Amino acid sequence: MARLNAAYLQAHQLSHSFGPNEILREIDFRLDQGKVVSVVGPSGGGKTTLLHLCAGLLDITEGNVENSFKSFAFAFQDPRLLPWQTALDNIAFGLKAKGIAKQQREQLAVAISAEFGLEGDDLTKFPKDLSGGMRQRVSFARALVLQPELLFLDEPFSALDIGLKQELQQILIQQITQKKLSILFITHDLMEAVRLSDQILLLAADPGRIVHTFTIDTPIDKRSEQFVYDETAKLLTQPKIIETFELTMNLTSTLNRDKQT
Amino acid sequence: MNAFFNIIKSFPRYLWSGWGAIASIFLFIALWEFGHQIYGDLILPAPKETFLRLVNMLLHEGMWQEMQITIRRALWGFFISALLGSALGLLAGLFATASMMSRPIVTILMGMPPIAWIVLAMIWFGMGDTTVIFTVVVASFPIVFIGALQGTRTLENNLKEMADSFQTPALMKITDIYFPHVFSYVFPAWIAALGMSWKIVVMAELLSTSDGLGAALAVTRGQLDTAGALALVMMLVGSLLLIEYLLMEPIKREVEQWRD
Repeated sequence: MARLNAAYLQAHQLSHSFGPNEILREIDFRLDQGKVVSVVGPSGGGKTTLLHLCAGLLDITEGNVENSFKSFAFAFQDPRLLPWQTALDNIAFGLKAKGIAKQQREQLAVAISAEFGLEGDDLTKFPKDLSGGMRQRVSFARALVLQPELLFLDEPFSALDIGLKQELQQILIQQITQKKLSILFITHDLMEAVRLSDQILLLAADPGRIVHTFTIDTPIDKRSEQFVYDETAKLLTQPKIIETFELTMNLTSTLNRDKQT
Repeated sequence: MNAFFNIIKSFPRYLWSGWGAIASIFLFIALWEFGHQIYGDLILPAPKETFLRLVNMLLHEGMWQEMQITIRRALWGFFISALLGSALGLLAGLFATASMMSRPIVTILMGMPPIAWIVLAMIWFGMGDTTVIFTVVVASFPIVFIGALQGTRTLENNLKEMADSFQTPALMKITDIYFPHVFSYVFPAWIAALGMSWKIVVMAELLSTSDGLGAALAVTRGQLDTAGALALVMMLVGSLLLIEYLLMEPIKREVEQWRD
């Protein structure tokens, strides 16, 4: 059944305002099953609002979102763990919300924690005793233990250092390829977007609108570091990107010179 | 339930950890003895004599009953203020206007010296239980109220949003998010209020009743019975220490181990 009509998420003419402030204007995009679409743009450009509208955390006032994915989960910029619950209970939070019995949800949580490099000892710790990277892993495990068809990511790597970022991204790439996970990914980091997505939507600010769409055809698990650097450098010379991120002329001219040599 | 068993299980180890505290108390008693040797019986009776006096008071002078009266009053006052303070504080915390309006009132309540309340209460209620309990309540209520108010005001939107993203049912939001958070503010406030109740009850009794430890303290002052006064103080402090360290602290350790 799922094979016959693959699930998708589609936004039609989606606009949103907070009071007099227009945040998003006429957004259109489509996310197909098994694909990763990232929304890239400067901070404060309405990216999070867009994500919340798609996830149903905010009420849609104009336009509409069609979502035929059966299940979804969320990972935030900060881990948002419950400080009074152990790592294990935090991972099992979404399962508990679904009404799954204690024993079963603990089994599932233990099983997934291994994939995220969390060991027996870590699971009984409270979030205060875990490092920042560990906490973000717990947050990812909490989302992925639900085996969602669609994952919403709201800049989940931005607070991590380079090493942790890479580790967690590798884990995520594994999950994408093994489980055919679909992801709507919000980020302000172009390189992250190039590494993880099939399609990059460029969201300009004031009001938030999609000004360009980039597609990357190379499969996600086949992208080398060099490929990611090159693609990112190429994107940085695109006039739309320069305009949207308000890159200084100095930087652009340097990049142009590099390209020519 | 699980928490209850954990408390019982870790209780022996907790008691064992009390040796340090006991050593420090003995050091204090040694200093007391030293003071006694310098100043003599009238100013500072010997610790031994005070202990004997304490035992004698409890066994033969009917002080056991007086102590029960005092503790009963303190506990009543504490329970009423804990109940009222928690309920009203939670309610006020839910509404921005209510929490804004209650702030100055609580500041007034906190700022008003308990001794002034005792005078007013004596005029309003005469001499007896009501006056004492009333004073205890007005003195401890603001502490609990502020704790509960802050507990509800500081609920993080982030966690609520996280719970929404997992389509968490309302009941689970209460048990897993709201309750643990609010409790972490209310419980320490209860402990502070309990300590406050113990102090205020004696003061109120000293001025406004003819029974209880406070009244007995007034009698020892009249008779210049320093050993008696010290023995009464020991009863009070001792009973508070027992309640706080044998009951409240083990609970606190269990429910707050997630804290930094």
